[in-house]
Amino acid sequence: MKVLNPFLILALIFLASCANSEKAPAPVADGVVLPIKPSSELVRGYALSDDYLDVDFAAVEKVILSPSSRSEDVVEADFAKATAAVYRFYKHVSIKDSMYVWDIKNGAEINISEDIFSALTNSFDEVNAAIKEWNAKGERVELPDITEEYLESLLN
Amino acid sequence: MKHHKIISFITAVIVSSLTNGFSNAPKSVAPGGSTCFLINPPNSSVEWSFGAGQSVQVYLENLNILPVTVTLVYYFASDEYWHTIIPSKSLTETKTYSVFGYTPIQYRFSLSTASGAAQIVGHASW
Repeated sequence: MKVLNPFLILALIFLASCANSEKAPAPVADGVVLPIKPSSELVRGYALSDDYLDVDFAAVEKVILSPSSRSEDVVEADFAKATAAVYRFYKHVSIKDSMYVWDIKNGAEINISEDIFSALTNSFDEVNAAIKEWNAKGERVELPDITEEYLESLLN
Repeated sequence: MKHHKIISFITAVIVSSLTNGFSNAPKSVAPGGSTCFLINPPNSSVEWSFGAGQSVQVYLENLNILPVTVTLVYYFASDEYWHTIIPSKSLTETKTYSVFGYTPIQYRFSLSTASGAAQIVGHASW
């Protein structure tokens, strides 16, 4: 029995290490934390008011893209303002000749900052470039319309 | 004593081969789901696979405040491409993929985007 004891201890250590290895890091998807969802009252308030909307769009987007690095500088009101600005812009977006187009020339027309306006138009330019590429290859692309239903969903 | 061991061994072999023979029999797959995250940067594409029943419903969600492009490729006998645009903070329609065969069926997809900044979630249920 005295001879077996060291083996028993080694066996216990081995078992303990096996048990720990079961706690291997979880897949990235499981660790993703969903970004802040601002209250609909707040979004609706900003979107339907005539207030000038300016927010660090890049900072809000950064938090959305990597929620684990959530900054205290980005608060719920920032998410609400960003969503409200998106709502105001999308009200002027439609589809023409299989491309997304907008009938405003600058942010001032809808009382949002020019930085937000640029971020939105740049992203639609990127989307249109991809559509053009797919169309050139003869590949089918689904382009959802910007409907009243969709606009309403941004406020909720 | 030796006889007993030989008989036990033969019995074990027979039981094992019978069990394997039945392993391809249809099994029912409990309702379930699978989720896949595509976050760019750093990844502009991601592989997504899971075992499910004979029919799965798939839709995609854009969590970002900017619109994104997305391509979902369903790898089967011939690859099936689904190119779509997802406006800010919205969902796509739901697509159904069906395979007639013994379950669980292994479904394999890839999700990719041409958008420089995207957080897209793939949702599958069966």
